[in-house]
Parts: sequence; C-alpha cells; structure tokens
Amino acid sequence: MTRVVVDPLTRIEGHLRLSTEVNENGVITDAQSSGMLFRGFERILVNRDPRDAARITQRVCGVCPTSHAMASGNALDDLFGIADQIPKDALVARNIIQGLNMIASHATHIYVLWLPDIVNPAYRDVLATIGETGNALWKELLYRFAPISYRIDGVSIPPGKAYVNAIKEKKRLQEAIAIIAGKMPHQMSSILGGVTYRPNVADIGKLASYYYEVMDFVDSSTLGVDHGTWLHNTFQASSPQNAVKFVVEHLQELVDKSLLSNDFSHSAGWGDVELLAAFGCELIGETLLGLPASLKLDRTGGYDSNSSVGFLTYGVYYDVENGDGYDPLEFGKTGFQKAAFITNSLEHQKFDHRNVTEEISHSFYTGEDNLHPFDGVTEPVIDADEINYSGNDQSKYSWMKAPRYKGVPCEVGPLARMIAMEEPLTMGLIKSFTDNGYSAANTFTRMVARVQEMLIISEQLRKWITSDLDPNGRFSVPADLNMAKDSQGIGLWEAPRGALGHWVKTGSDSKITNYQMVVPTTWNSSPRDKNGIPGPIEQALIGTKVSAVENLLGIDNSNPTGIYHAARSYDPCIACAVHTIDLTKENGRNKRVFDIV
Amino acid sequence: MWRDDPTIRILGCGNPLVGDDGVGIHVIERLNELHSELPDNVELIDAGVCGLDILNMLENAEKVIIIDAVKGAGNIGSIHRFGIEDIKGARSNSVLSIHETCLADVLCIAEHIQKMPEKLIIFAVEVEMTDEISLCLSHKMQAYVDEVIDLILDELRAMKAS
Repeated sequence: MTRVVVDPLTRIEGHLRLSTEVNENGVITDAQSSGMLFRGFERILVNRDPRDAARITQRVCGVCPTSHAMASGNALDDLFGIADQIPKDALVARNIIQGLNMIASHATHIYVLWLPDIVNPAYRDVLATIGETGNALWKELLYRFAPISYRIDGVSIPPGKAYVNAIKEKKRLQEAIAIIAGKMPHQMSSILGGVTYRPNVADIGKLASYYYEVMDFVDSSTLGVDHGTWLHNTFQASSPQNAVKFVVEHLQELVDKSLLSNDFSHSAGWGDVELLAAFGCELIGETLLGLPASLKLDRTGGYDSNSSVGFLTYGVYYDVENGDGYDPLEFGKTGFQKAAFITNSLEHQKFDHRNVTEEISHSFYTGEDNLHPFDGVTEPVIDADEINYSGNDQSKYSWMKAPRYKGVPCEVGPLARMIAMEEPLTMGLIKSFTDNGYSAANTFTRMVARVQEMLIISEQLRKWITSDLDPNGRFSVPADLNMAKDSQGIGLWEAPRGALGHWVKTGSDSKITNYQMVVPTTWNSSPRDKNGIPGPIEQALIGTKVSAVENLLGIDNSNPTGIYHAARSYDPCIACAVHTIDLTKENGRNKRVFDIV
Repeated sequence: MWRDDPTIRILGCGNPLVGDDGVGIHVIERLNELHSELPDNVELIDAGVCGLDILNMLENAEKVIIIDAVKGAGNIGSIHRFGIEDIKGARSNSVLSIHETCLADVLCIAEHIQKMPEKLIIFAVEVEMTDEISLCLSHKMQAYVDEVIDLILDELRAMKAS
C-alpha cells in the first residue's frame, strides 16, 4: 500500500489537497479531499447592511463571482419580499450576464485547466504503442492542447492553438460582461431589485457580435461540424439513442477517412470534441468504433455500483417567458434549466431546499452538526491538535463542511444539470455506459456534459440578447431597508461548477444576523459525514487506477493521472492565494532563470 | 476627456492581505495620493491577483509599468527593472491555478494573442514577509515603497522626453 498525496492539486482554483492510498495493483483504495482555505465570508457579513452582500460575496472568487452576485441577489429579492416584482428585462439582463460568465468559465476549464491533462507524456508513450496513428494523434494533441510554458523532457513545447484561442475567447467574454455590468470580475450591475444598467441598442449589437465570435471559435476548434448541425442532432435529437447514434456515425465517418491518412486535423473534420470522444473514451473509441487504443477516460472518476452519490441542481436562469417576477422557492420549476434531486439510480425527485444540511464531523469546525443553512454556524476549531488528515473515524481534515441532501452526498455541476434537463446526448451516453457496466458519471461524461452545456447556453444567450432584451423595458424596482426587518431570504442559483445557495436572516434593525453560503465545490469535494460516507470526489477517486490508461504501462505513483483526471473533471474551485515571483533558480550557465511560485 | 497623447498605464499586482506580497498595491495607493502631480495620460490600476484578467488591462495602452513582488534574488528591498525579454525565461513552478497564473505566464500568453504595448517595464521588488496574514508591509519594506515611487516618476519623465 502506498500513500499518494497531491498537495496542492494544480490547475484548479485555490488550494485542494488530495490524499490517497494506492494498492499494489495501482488501484486507489482510499481517498481524503481537503479544502485548505478558510473562507470566513459568513462571519464578515454578520451585522452588515444586507444590500452589500451581493457585492461582498462576489469576492469569494475571481472566476465565478457572477454566480455569487446572482445567488445573493436572489436571497435579497426574497429577503425584501420583492422577488415577484423584478422586471422581466432585469431578469433577462441577469441571465445574459450569467450566461456569458458560464461560457467563459466552461471554456477556461475545458481548455486551460483540463485539456492540458491529455498532453501528459504518459499518453505519448501509450499512443506510441499503436504506431504511426498514435504518433500522429499525439502530435495533433500537442498542437492543440499544450499549455503555456510546457516542457516535456526539458524540451519547450509551444502553447497549443486551441489553448491560446480559448484564452482569447475568455478575454473577449470578460469584455462582453463589462458592456452591461460595468466590469469583470466582480461586476457591479446585478443588485437587489434588478440591475443598475439599462442596456442600449448599441450594447445589444455589441453583445450579439461577441456571441458570433464565440461561435466562430466553436466552429473552428471545438466542433468538426457546424454548431447548428451538432445541436440539432444531439440536444434536439428525437431520443437519447438517436443523439448517440448521430455522434457515433459521425465519428465512424471521420475514423474511416483518417486511419489511412493519419490526418487528425480540424480541416479533416476533427473538432476537439470529436478527438476527445473517439480517442478519450474506451466505450466509444475501442468498443463501438474498433480503434486500437483510447485514453479510457470513461474508466476514471466513476462511482462504485454501491455508491449512494446523487445529483443535485437548484435550476438556473429566470424564466423570462413568464414576464415580471419569479418565485425564489420554486426557482427552477419552469424555464430553461430545472431544479432536481436525482438519486444514484437516476430517479428524479422534486427539489426542496429544506432537505439541505451541512455536517461538520470531519471538518475544521465546531458546534452543532447537521444544520440547515438558515441555522448554520461557521465556527472554526481553535485547537490545531484536532486537525488530522488520516481520515479515520474521528479525524477532522478539511475546511469544507459536508453538505448532504436528505443525508446523501451529491455531485453538482454540468453533468447534474444535463441529467436534470434530460439532455438527450448526456442521457444517451449515460445509458450506453450503464448498459455496459460503467459508472454513469465518469471523467468523460463530466467533460462532455460541460462542452454540451457551453454550446446549449450559447444558443440560449443569442435568444436573450437578440429577442428578449428590450432596452425600453424596466430594469429595477425600488426597495427600502425597512422592508428587510426580521426577515429571511433564500438565493438558489447555479455557478458553472454547480448548485450554489445563499441563505440570509436579518434582525429588527434590518442588519444581517446570519448568512450562510453552500457552494458547489463544497458538495463535490466534501469530506466524510458522521456515518463515514465519503464525498463525491473521494468516492470517484476510490477504485480509479492511479496511472494512465488503467496502468497500461505500469504503475507510476509520481504521475498519478487517475487522480488528476478524476478530481479536475469536477472543475474544483477553492479560493484565492498569494503569488510572488521566485528568482532563486539558476541554470547551468549561471544566468538567472526566473521561477514563479 | 479627449486626449491625443499615448496612455501610460501603471499596474500594481499582488495580494495586500499577505503582507509584502501587496507591495505593488501599496505603490498604487501612494501614486493615487500623488495623482494631481501625475500627467493626465497616466492611469493607475490595482490589478490585485487578477491572473489572466491582466490580459484585458494590457489593452489600449502604449506604455505599461507593472509593479510586483519578487523573492529570492538579492537583498530585501532590491528593486529589479525588467523588460519583457528578461522574464521570457521564467516559467511557472506548476502552481498554475487561474488565480495564481504568474505574471510571466500572463505576459507570455499576451504575446500570443494580442498586440503588446510599445513599452513594458516591470519593477520587481524583493520582499520579505509573504506567509503571514497582514494588511501592512513589513517595517523594512515601507521604506522601499518611496524608492519605487521615485523610480516610477523617473520612468514617467523619461517616457515624456522620448
């Protein structure tokens, strides 16, 4: 038995420590996921004017601050009792701001944080075993997905084309958000009662042009077919089976053409998604298409068949077809992405926020256990001796609490949202995987769900911008601080990474008496609960093989691709840290080489 | 206000919550106090730990001066003046989170995806304390902020003359 610890896990947001036990067969048998930063915003907010919460809570994160502004805004609309009056055009503007951020965040995760994983040198060695095709494929992967400052065996690799272009898109999308929300990160527009900015016709024109630029990137990189064709045959397919059939037949055509020429370029029809689907996935690539090898991403990051992990989403985006106002308690009941709790056997249940609780038995907190967020407390342990990373029955090993829905640990994020909306491609893939003995949720389905959601939201965004937003509409309703006396509010929303809830209570002076946030990565990266049941990432790690392609070329604990893939597929987001430049490194010629920490 | 002189933008980088790492931010705050004495075409930005968002801040400025903390090359308080060529050899120590994308990486990405400012200068200040939660600079460091300010003012004068 070997202990393999990844601390910090890089290419994510913030500081996450993953500690695993790996047996002599290279299989992970135990795992602890530890959030290493104390957030503490709940304590900052107590005794403040509640209206400031939508500004302050954004500072939790520089990547998905928008979602915190929205969740907080919803909680405040509810707290002040005006959610049913928020003008439709304010809701459209909020949808647009969130949609742009969702696409930017997904593109960043897919291209900057996750895809560099598949240019791990282990895959060069695996692909080399299938000869010329493998070598040609490896070159194509490097050409597209190599990250900045990448070196293999001391040789510098230029940054990949898709990687660089995705950063360009992310940068443009930040500008797009700033057009109607002042600035990004930490936009200034969405507030209690609506939005502060009334978009004009020129803004709408500009936003539309940003949409077209994103779609140009999608068509010239992400997909090998036009995005309209892709969505028509997958998202709008007549059945899940037909969605999968379209993808497999499309891939078969590409494979037949390219296996002789060894041309895997975009001009030969290979979008990034096609490459990932054919060569990343054992079931599609090897079983259905008959390819000689794949990266077997569908074999990593799955749950054991006895696992209880469910899927949870609160629903996101206002249903602007309904005109003004929304119901914060029935949020996600109608509209585009619906709320649901889905059990491990994929049974859909109606979501009720009262079933959300947070446990602290394995977290660095004290106080009463298993509280609903309205009554939640955030009291850190005082005695450092209580901290113990072993993961045994008693140990406290994370700054994250353990959220549970009806006592069940839940995976949140694009996959949960796609299941809740019964997206045909996702459901078809899940059925194929479960029929063939795979876990429905795995590294591959999580990544496909994220790409698919990015495409679906792009189309939805076009509608919000070009048909729903009326620059002559109303964009806010007034609210007086007295309306928040002895009140409470619930803000349910979705961040790119999953279900996000804010719960706020106020006293007789309208000041905040309690504020609790339950954020997506706390669900995914949760520690064990009082029954010893591990969180989703912990369960996904257990049973995963530690090295590339199911340890095909042996066990390499120093390059645990299984841990990287499984954990990063959830797009974990912890928080901010310090950065400085370190000048201590010297190279052979005694010239300073700057190293950055 | 309409201007035809080139924009000079000064970016202070760092996290002011962890002591000396925030030296760039302290410099920006001090420059803000001097704002009336600075030419109109100078923009001051607290760039914090913005990572890739610094890409947007390099847009539409002819000249850019960046102030960041640096560690390990000399005595506390040494101020290094780098051009973009000087940090090309730098590479991230694999601590690549979006928040922690280092300045060298961001500038390297910028060269791939956008038009760079005509002139880019980085003042890297050798710092002492970056592992303690503190809003203040260490005692030693406070004195060096004035030196950085003087260097920036010299730089601004040189830019005006050129």
